[in-house]
Amino acid sequence: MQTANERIGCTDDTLSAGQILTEYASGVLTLHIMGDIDHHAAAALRQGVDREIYYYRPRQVLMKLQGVDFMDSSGLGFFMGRYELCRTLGASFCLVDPPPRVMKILQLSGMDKKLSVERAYESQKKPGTAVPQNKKAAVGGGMGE
Amino acid sequence: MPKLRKKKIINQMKAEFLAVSENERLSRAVVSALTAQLDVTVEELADVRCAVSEAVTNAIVHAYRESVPRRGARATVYILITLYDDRSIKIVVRDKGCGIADLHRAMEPQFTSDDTGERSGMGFSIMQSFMDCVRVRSAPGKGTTVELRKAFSKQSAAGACASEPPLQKKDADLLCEAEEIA
Repeated sequence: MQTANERIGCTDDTLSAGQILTEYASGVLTLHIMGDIDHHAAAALRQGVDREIYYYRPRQVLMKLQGVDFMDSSGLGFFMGRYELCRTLGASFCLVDPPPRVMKILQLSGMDKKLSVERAYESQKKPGTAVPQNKKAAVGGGMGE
Repeated sequence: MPKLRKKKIINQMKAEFLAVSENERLSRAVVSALTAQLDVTVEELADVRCAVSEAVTNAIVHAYRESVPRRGARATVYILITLYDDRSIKIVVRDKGCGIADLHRAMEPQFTSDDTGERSGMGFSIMQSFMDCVRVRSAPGKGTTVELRKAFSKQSAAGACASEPPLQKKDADLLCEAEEIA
Protein backbone atom coordinates (compact mmCIF):
# COMPACT_ATOMS: atom_id res chain seq x y z
CA MET A 1 0.00 0.00 0.00
CA GLN A 2 1.37 3.35 -1.01
CA THR A 3 1.37 5.98 1.69
CA ALA A 4 0.49 9.60 1.16
CA ASN A 5 3.89 10.69 2.33
CA GLU A 6 5.69 8.39 -0.05
CA ARG A 7 3.71 9.73 -2.95
CA ILE A 8 4.27 13.38 -2.15
CA GLY A 9 7.86 12.78 -1.15
CA CYS A 10 7.76 14.07 2.42
CA THR A 11 10.86 13.85 4.55
CA ASP A 12 10.98 12.38 8.04
CA ASP A 13 10.85 15.88 9.52
CA THR A 14 7.32 16.47 8.31
CA LEU A 15 6.23 13.01 9.44
CA SER A 16 6.95 13.78 13.08
CA ALA A 17 4.42 16.60 13.07
CA GLY A 18 1.63 14.12 12.38
CA GLN A 19 1.71 11.19 10.03
CA ILE A 20 -0.89 10.05 7.53
CA LEU A 21 -1.18 6.66 5.93
CA THR A 22 -3.58 6.46 3.02
CA GLU A 23 -5.58 3.55 1.67
CA TYR A 24 -7.97 3.90 -1.23
CA ALA A 25 -10.35 1.31 -2.60
CA SER A 26 -13.63 1.63 -4.48
CA GLY A 27 -14.50 5.16 -3.55
CA VAL A 28 -13.54 4.83 0.11
CA LEU A 29 -10.53 6.83 1.25
CA THR A 30 -9.13 5.63 4.56
CA LEU A 31 -6.72 7.97 6.31
CA HIS A 32 -4.79 6.68 9.30
CA ILE A 33 -3.79 9.62 11.47
CA MET A 34 -0.84 9.11 13.79
CA GLY A 35 0.96 11.06 16.49
CA ASP A 36 -0.20 14.30 18.07
CA ILE A 37 -2.96 16.53 16.70
CA ASP A 38 -2.19 19.99 18.05
CA HIS A 39 -2.23 23.36 16.29
CA HIS A 40 1.25 22.78 14.89
CA ALA A 41 0.61 19.27 13.55
CA ALA A 42 -2.87 20.18 12.30
CA ALA A 43 -1.37 22.53 9.69
CA ALA A 44 0.67 19.71 8.14
CA LEU A 45 -2.16 17.19 8.50
CA ARG A 46 -4.62 19.56 6.87
CA GLN A 47 -2.40 19.91 3.81
CA GLY A 48 -1.79 16.18 3.55
CA VAL A 49 -5.39 15.13 4.07
CA ASP A 50 -6.85 17.74 1.72
CA ARG A 51 -4.37 16.76 -0.96
CA GLU A 52 -5.50 13.14 -0.69
CA ILE A 53 -9.18 14.11 -0.78
CA TYR A 54 -8.74 16.29 -3.88
CA TYR A 55 -6.61 13.61 -5.55
CA TYR A 56 -8.95 10.65 -5.06
CA ARG A 57 -12.30 12.48 -4.92
CA PRO A 58 -13.78 9.67 -2.77
CA ARG A 59 -17.44 9.22 -1.92
CA GLN A 60 -16.54 8.28 1.64
CA VAL A 61 -13.69 9.46 3.87
CA LEU A 62 -12.81 7.40 6.92
CA MET A 63 -10.39 8.94 9.36
CA LYS A 64 -8.84 6.28 11.56
CA LEU A 65 -7.65 7.73 14.85
CA GLN A 66 -6.31 4.68 16.63
CA GLY A 67 -2.73 5.97 16.39
CA VAL A 68 -3.43 9.42 17.87
CA ASP A 69 -1.40 9.99 21.05
CA PHE A 70 -2.61 13.46 21.91
CA MET A 71 -5.30 15.81 20.74
CA ASP A 72 -6.51 19.24 21.87
CA SER A 73 -9.17 21.61 20.53
CA SER A 74 -7.08 22.23 17.40
CA GLY A 75 -8.02 18.66 16.48
CA LEU A 76 -11.70 19.57 16.69
CA GLY A 77 -11.13 22.44 14.28
CA PHE A 78 -9.20 20.11 12.00
CA PHE A 79 -12.09 17.59 11.94
CA MET A 80 -14.65 20.34 11.37
CA GLY A 81 -12.70 21.72 8.42
CA ARG A 82 -12.39 18.28 6.81
CA TYR A 83 -16.09 17.58 7.44
CA GLU A 84 -17.02 20.82 5.67
CA LEU A 85 -14.70 20.02 2.77
CA CYS A 86 -16.19 16.54 2.36
CA ARG A 87 -19.68 17.97 2.48
CA THR A 88 -18.82 20.48 -0.25
CA LEU A 89 -17.42 17.67 -2.41
CA GLY A 90 -20.42 15.43 -1.71
CA ALA A 91 -18.51 12.84 0.28
CA SER A 92 -19.40 11.39 3.66
CA PHE A 93 -16.97 11.85 6.53
CA CYS A 94 -16.51 9.53 9.46
CA LEU A 95 -14.14 9.30 12.41
CA VAL A 96 -13.17 5.74 13.27
CA ASP A 97 -11.87 4.32 16.55
CA PRO A 98 -10.98 7.46 18.49
CA PRO A 99 -8.92 6.62 21.60
CA PRO A 100 -10.64 7.39 24.96
CA ARG A 101 -8.89 10.76 25.37
CA VAL A 102 -9.94 11.89 21.89
CA MET A 103 -13.49 10.64 22.51
CA LYS A 104 -13.61 12.65 25.74
CA ILE A 105 -12.84 15.86 23.85
CA LEU A 106 -15.31 15.02 21.07
CA GLN A 107 -18.05 14.45 23.66
CA LEU A 108 -17.15 17.57 25.61
CA SER A 109 -17.59 19.72 22.52
CA GLY A 110 -20.72 17.88 21.37
CA MET A 111 -18.94 17.06 18.15
CA ASP A 112 -19.63 13.36 18.52
CA LYS A 113 -23.26 14.27 17.72
CA LYS A 114 -22.44 16.40 14.69
CA LEU A 115 -19.84 14.18 13.07
CA SER A 116 -20.34 10.47 12.65
CA VAL A 117 -18.05 8.53 14.95
CA GLU A 118 -17.65 4.78 14.69
CA ARG A 119 -15.94 2.42 17.05
CA ALA A 120 -14.37 -0.72 15.59
CA TYR A 121 -15.13 -0.21 11.94
CA GLU A 122 -17.28 -3.03 10.63
CA SER A 123 -19.10 -1.55 7.65
CA GLN A 124 -17.30 -3.77 5.15
CA LYS A 125 -19.22 -6.69 6.65
CA LYS A 126 -22.55 -4.91 6.43
CA PRO A 127 -24.46 -5.79 3.26
CA GLY A 128 -25.91 -2.27 2.91
CA THR A 129 -22.57 -0.61 2.26
CA ALA A 130 -21.06 -3.34 0.10
CA VAL A 131 -19.79 -2.21 -3.27
CA PRO A 132 -20.08 -4.19 -6.51
CA GLN A 133 -17.08 -6.45 -6.99
CA ASN A 134 -16.34 -5.36 -10.55
CA LYS A 135 -16.12 -1.71 -9.54
CA LYS A 136 -13.78 -2.58 -6.69
CA ALA A 137 -11.43 -4.39 -9.07
CA ALA A 138 -11.45 -1.56 -11.59
CA VAL A 139 -10.57 1.11 -9.04
CA GLY A 140 -8.11 -1.13 -7.24
CA GLY A 141 -6.24 -1.79 -10.48
CA GLY A 142 -5.89 1.90 -11.21
CA MET A 143 -4.31 2.66 -7.88
CA GLY A 144 -0.85 4.16 -7.71
CA GLU A 145 -0.99 5.89 -11.08
CA MET B 1 -12.05 24.11 64.24
CA PRO B 2 -8.81 23.10 62.53
CA LYS B 3 -6.59 25.96 61.54
CA LEU B 4 -6.15 26.43 57.80
CA ARG B 5 -2.64 25.39 56.92
CA LYS B 6 -0.91 27.43 54.29
CA LYS B 7 0.25 25.12 51.51
CA LYS B 8 3.94 24.96 50.83
CA ILE B 9 5.68 25.12 47.49
CA ILE B 10 7.63 21.94 46.85
CA ASN B 11 8.86 22.73 43.37
CA GLN B 12 8.67 25.54 40.89
CA MET B 13 9.79 26.11 37.34
CA LYS B 14 9.78 29.00 34.95
CA ALA B 15 9.99 28.60 31.20
CA GLU B 16 9.91 31.11 28.39
CA PHE B 17 10.03 30.48 24.70
CA LEU B 18 9.22 32.12 21.38
CA ALA B 19 5.60 32.05 20.27
CA VAL B 20 6.12 29.55 17.46
CA SER B 21 3.87 26.53 17.02
CA GLU B 22 6.73 24.03 17.38
CA ASN B 23 6.84 24.98 21.05
CA GLU B 24 3.32 23.72 21.82
CA ARG B 25 4.70 20.24 22.01
CA LEU B 26 7.65 21.45 24.07
CA SER B 27 5.39 23.18 26.59
CA ARG B 28 3.38 19.99 27.09
CA ALA B 29 6.53 17.98 27.61
CA VAL B 30 7.92 20.45 30.16
CA VAL B 31 4.71 20.72 32.15
CA SER B 32 4.01 16.99 32.21
CA ALA B 33 7.59 16.21 33.26
CA LEU B 34 7.27 18.50 36.28
CA THR B 35 3.69 17.44 37.11
CA ALA B 36 4.77 13.79 37.10
CA GLN B 37 6.86 14.54 40.21
CA LEU B 38 3.56 14.61 42.15
CA ASP B 39 2.94 10.97 41.24
CA VAL B 40 -0.34 11.64 39.44
CA THR B 41 -2.49 9.23 37.44
CA VAL B 42 -2.17 8.93 33.68
CA GLU B 43 -5.63 10.43 33.26
CA GLU B 44 -4.80 13.45 35.44
CA LEU B 45 -1.57 14.02 33.57
CA ALA B 46 -3.43 13.88 30.25
CA ASP B 47 -5.87 16.53 31.54
CA VAL B 48 -3.02 18.85 32.49
CA ARG B 49 -1.22 18.29 29.19
CA CYS B 50 -4.33 19.16 27.24
CA ALA B 51 -5.18 22.27 29.28
CA VAL B 52 -1.63 23.61 28.94
CA SER B 53 -1.66 22.92 25.23
CA GLU B 54 -4.86 24.99 24.92
CA ALA B 55 -3.45 27.93 26.86
CA VAL B 56 -0.14 27.95 24.99
CA THR B 57 -1.84 27.50 21.62
CA ASN B 58 -4.08 30.49 22.37
CA ALA B 59 -1.01 32.60 23.10
CA ILE B 60 0.73 31.46 19.93
CA VAL B 61 -2.29 31.65 17.59
CA HIS B 62 -4.04 34.79 18.87
CA ALA B 63 -1.83 36.92 21.10
CA TYR B 64 0.84 37.87 18.60
CA ARG B 65 -1.28 37.71 15.48
CA GLU B 66 -1.07 41.46 14.86
CA SER B 67 2.67 41.67 15.43
CA VAL B 68 3.81 38.85 13.18
CA PRO B 69 6.52 40.88 11.37
CA ARG B 70 8.31 41.52 14.68
CA ARG B 71 7.86 37.97 15.86
CA GLY B 72 11.47 37.35 16.82
CA ALA B 73 11.70 40.48 18.93
CA ARG B 74 8.92 40.33 21.51
CA ALA B 75 6.69 37.35 20.81
CA THR B 76 7.43 35.29 23.90
CA VAL B 77 5.26 32.93 25.94
CA TYR B 78 6.01 32.60 29.65
CA ILE B 79 5.04 29.63 31.80
CA LEU B 80 5.31 29.33 35.57
CA ILE B 81 4.57 25.92 37.07
CA THR B 82 4.28 25.50 40.84
CA LEU B 83 3.79 22.24 42.72
CA TYR B 84 2.33 22.37 46.25
CA ASP B 85 2.63 19.90 49.11
CA ASP B 86 -1.16 19.34 49.17
CA ARG B 87 -0.82 17.59 45.78
CA SER B 88 -2.03 20.55 43.79
CA ILE B 89 -0.54 22.44 40.89
CA LYS B 90 -0.71 25.95 39.55
CA ILE B 91 0.25 26.77 35.98
CA VAL B 92 0.41 30.36 34.78
CA VAL B 93 0.67 30.99 31.05
CA ARG B 94 1.39 34.57 30.11
CA ASP B 95 1.93 36.48 26.89
CA LYS B 96 2.59 40.12 26.10
CA GLY B 97 0.46 40.14 22.97
CA CYS B 98 -2.66 41.96 21.82
CA GLY B 99 -4.87 41.02 24.78
CA ILE B 100 -8.56 40.16 24.78
CA ALA B 101 -11.13 42.97 24.58
CA ASP B 102 -14.23 40.95 25.48
CA LEU B 103 -13.11 38.23 27.85
CA HIS B 104 -16.62 37.00 28.57
CA ARG B 105 -17.27 36.41 24.91
CA ALA B 106 -13.84 34.85 24.31
CA MET B 107 -14.55 32.23 26.95
CA GLU B 108 -17.90 31.20 25.50
CA PRO B 109 -17.92 27.70 24.02
CA GLN B 110 -17.46 27.71 20.25
CA PHE B 111 -16.60 31.39 20.05
CA THR B 112 -13.52 32.05 17.98
CA SER B 113 -12.10 35.20 16.46
CA ASP B 114 -10.58 33.06 13.72
CA ASP B 115 -12.48 33.15 10.42
CA THR B 116 -10.79 30.31 8.52
CA GLY B 117 -13.18 27.70 9.94
CA GLU B 118 -10.25 25.67 11.21
CA ARG B 119 -10.53 26.60 14.89
CA SER B 120 -13.20 25.18 17.13
CA GLY B 121 -13.39 27.89 19.80
CA MET B 122 -13.37 25.21 22.49
CA GLY B 123 -10.03 26.12 24.11
CA PHE B 124 -11.30 27.77 27.30
CA SER B 125 -14.11 25.20 27.67
CA ILE B 126 -11.57 22.39 27.58
CA MET B 127 -9.33 24.17 30.10
CA GLN B 128 -12.33 24.63 32.41
CA SER B 129 -13.42 21.02 32.25
CA PHE B 130 -9.95 19.52 32.64
CA MET B 131 -8.75 21.81 35.44
CA ASP B 132 -10.37 22.77 38.76
CA CYS B 133 -9.99 26.52 38.35
CA VAL B 134 -9.27 28.75 35.35
CA ARG B 135 -8.71 32.46 35.84
CA VAL B 136 -7.91 34.90 33.06
CA ARG B 137 -6.64 38.44 33.25
CA SER B 138 -6.37 40.45 30.07
CA ALA B 139 -6.65 43.93 28.61
CA PRO B 140 -6.23 45.11 25.01
CA GLY B 141 -2.57 45.78 24.33
CA LYS B 142 -1.52 44.46 27.74
CA GLY B 143 -1.28 40.76 27.02
CA THR B 144 -3.10 37.88 28.65
CA THR B 145 -2.45 35.81 31.76
CA VAL B 146 -4.18 32.45 32.23
CA GLU B 147 -3.96 30.71 35.59
CA LEU B 148 -4.81 27.02 35.75
CA ARG B 149 -5.16 25.13 39.03
CA LYS B 150 -5.78 21.51 39.74
CA ALA B 151 -5.71 19.36 42.87
CA PHE B 152 -4.85 15.72 42.30
CA SER B 153 -6.42 12.69 43.96
CA LYS B 154 -4.91 11.85 47.35
CA GLN B 155 -4.30 8.24 46.45
CA SER B 156 -0.92 8.25 44.76
CA ALA B 157 0.44 5.31 42.79
CA ALA B 158 2.89 4.59 45.65
CA GLY B 159 0.00 4.67 48.13
CA ALA B 160 -1.95 2.11 46.12
CA CYS B 161 1.08 -0.18 46.26
CA ALA B 162 1.36 0.22 50.06
CA SER B 163 -2.17 -1.13 50.55
CA GLU B 164 -1.20 -4.39 48.81
CA PRO B 165 0.04 -7.30 50.97
CA PRO B 166 3.84 -7.48 51.30
CA LEU B 167 5.80 -9.51 48.76
CA GLN B 168 5.69 -13.19 49.73
CA LYS B 169 8.76 -15.39 49.91
CA LYS B 170 7.21 -17.87 47.46
CA ASP B 171 6.83 -15.06 44.88
CA ALA B 172 10.48 -14.13 45.33
CA ASP B 173 11.52 -17.80 44.98
CA LEU B 174 9.45 -18.06 41.83
CA LEU B 175 11.35 -15.14 40.35
CA CYS B 176 14.72 -16.78 41.14
CA GLU B 177 13.58 -20.02 39.50
CA ALA B 178 12.55 -18.13 36.40
CA GLU B 179 15.98 -16.54 36.23
CA GLU B 180 17.73 -19.89 36.57
CA ILE B 181 15.72 -21.33 33.69
CA ALA B 182 16.56 -18.33 31.53
